[in-house]
Amino acid sequence: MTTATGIRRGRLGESARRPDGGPKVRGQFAFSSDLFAEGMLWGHLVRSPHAAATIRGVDISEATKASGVHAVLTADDVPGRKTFGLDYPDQPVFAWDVARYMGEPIAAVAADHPDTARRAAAGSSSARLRSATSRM
Amino acid sequence: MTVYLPASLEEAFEAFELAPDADLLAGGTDYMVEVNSGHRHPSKVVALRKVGELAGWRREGDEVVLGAGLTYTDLMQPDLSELLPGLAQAARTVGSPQIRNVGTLGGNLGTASPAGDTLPVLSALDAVVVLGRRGSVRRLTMHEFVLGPKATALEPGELIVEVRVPAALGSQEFLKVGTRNAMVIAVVNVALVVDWVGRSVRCALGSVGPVPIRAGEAEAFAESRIDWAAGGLTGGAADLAEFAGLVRAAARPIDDHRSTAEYRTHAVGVCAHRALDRVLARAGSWTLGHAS
Amino acid sequence: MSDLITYALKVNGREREVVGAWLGENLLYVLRERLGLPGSKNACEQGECGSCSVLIDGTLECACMVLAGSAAGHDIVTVEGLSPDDGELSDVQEAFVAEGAVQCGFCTPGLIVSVHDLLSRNPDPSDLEVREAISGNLCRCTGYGRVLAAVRAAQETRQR
Repeated sequence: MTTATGIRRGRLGESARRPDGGPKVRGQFAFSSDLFAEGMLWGHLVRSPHAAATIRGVDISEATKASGVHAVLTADDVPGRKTFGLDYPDQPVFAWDVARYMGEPIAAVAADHPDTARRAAAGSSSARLRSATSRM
Repeated sequence: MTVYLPASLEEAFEAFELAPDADLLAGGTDYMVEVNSGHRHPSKVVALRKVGELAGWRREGDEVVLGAGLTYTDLMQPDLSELLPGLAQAARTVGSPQIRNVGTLGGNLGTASPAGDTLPVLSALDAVVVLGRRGSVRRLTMHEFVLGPKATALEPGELIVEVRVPAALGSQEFLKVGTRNAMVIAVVNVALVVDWVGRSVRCALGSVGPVPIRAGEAEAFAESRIDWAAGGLTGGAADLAEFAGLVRAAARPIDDHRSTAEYRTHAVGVCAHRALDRVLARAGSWTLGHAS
Repeated sequence: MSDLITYALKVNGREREVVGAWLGENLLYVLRERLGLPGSKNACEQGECGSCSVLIDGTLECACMVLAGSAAGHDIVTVEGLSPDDGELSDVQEAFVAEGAVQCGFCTPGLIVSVHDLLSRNPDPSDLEVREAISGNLCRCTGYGRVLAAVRAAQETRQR
């Protein structure tokens, strides 16, 4: 049989039909963000607003108390080694003492709605991050 | 805690009386970006999607009255683009088809970003913005309406109802420069209208100041140098360069994350130069009395 | 949380109820997380990438730019609603698979909706018209070459 491009199928050296093509064009292929579970929580990260900064402390008390928030995690909550990496596991899961790039994760909020997580994350971040003079 | 879904202007006014502090929502292409990023927390919203009176337009003599709910796609349709070619050109530079299908003229005005693409065109056309609440309307010029970056004269309880512009005025050009050639907020945008009948030149600049700027000196210069009978500039290329220089002098740009004041000044001159050059190239057909 | 609302949406021909939702939720979130329709994707949440493209009253829009509650009373069609009922693929969907226009597939649902919209309005678009019509759908994998070929193939199929 011929396709629109005139290529006959089923022979050596031909263009094979992509097996996940059908589900993908139907919107039925599950990407990781499509995963769903009843009662699942939503996460939002608190990220460093500074490219190079000293972290004097992270105040999570208000975020933890907020309605709908189930957990707030920092480097203190990371069991075992607090860094990860493929060849050199030296990258902090959550930054502590020092933030090394703008956007580096410092804490994570888990809540029952993404907007709740986001608001809690915004509340807990700015007040307690003091930046040192830039080392760049 | 409510979304109001008025189906008519009357109902919209009523909703606004019930909730004068409600957010107005048309296309949502500015509003929803703020909501999605957590920078805005809606509490009461009056959604204007269903208000038919806002989405139409009509001809009134030598004016076109544009409903504030007209989308960029609407502005690009043949019948409107023939009457308002500069506005159609500007609309086509906005976003993507998805954005153009929902973003509105009223929204562009209401947001009043210094980079708003319809704003220089409306400024060059001396548009009149009609604001309404139940039982009363106000008419403001662009200068009176757009007060500063993201600041307008719109009062609580008012909405932008329509915009009045001259129909088929002269030869129009709109140019825009961005950090890429599509789906981008303007680094510089320029609208030019040359009215061969009225013998006037209007040149409005966007993204080079807190509000759209009419380059008055450049306009006056071009008006004095255009050969209104035969077309072209009396001083040729030198006049064109002088025009561009006067446009540059009128700009008051800033440095920001998109561009520098220096580049913006340069780019606005290039756009003005190109715009006038294109209009003059078409001029032959104008002096013969045909629409270009 | 405060600001909870309840409303009904008509999606792919069916009335669906949304109960106790936060007022600020966009339509993309509601489709994916409340209505079990994760076909529309979330890549930018700013109306720039087009991966959340849907049709509302026949108009191509980004679902992330729609306040979900404001879509009540309108006809919403998602990528899930474009496949024929019998489980087959639409001609556009088939063309995308056959022409190799699907790689990671994240942009694919948005493109499928955009191309369906294009061909329903303009059955014989020029090359420039096709490019402009899909200019709101960003694809990182294919370089768009096979996507344009898929549109041509779908066009030809419809003309036969």
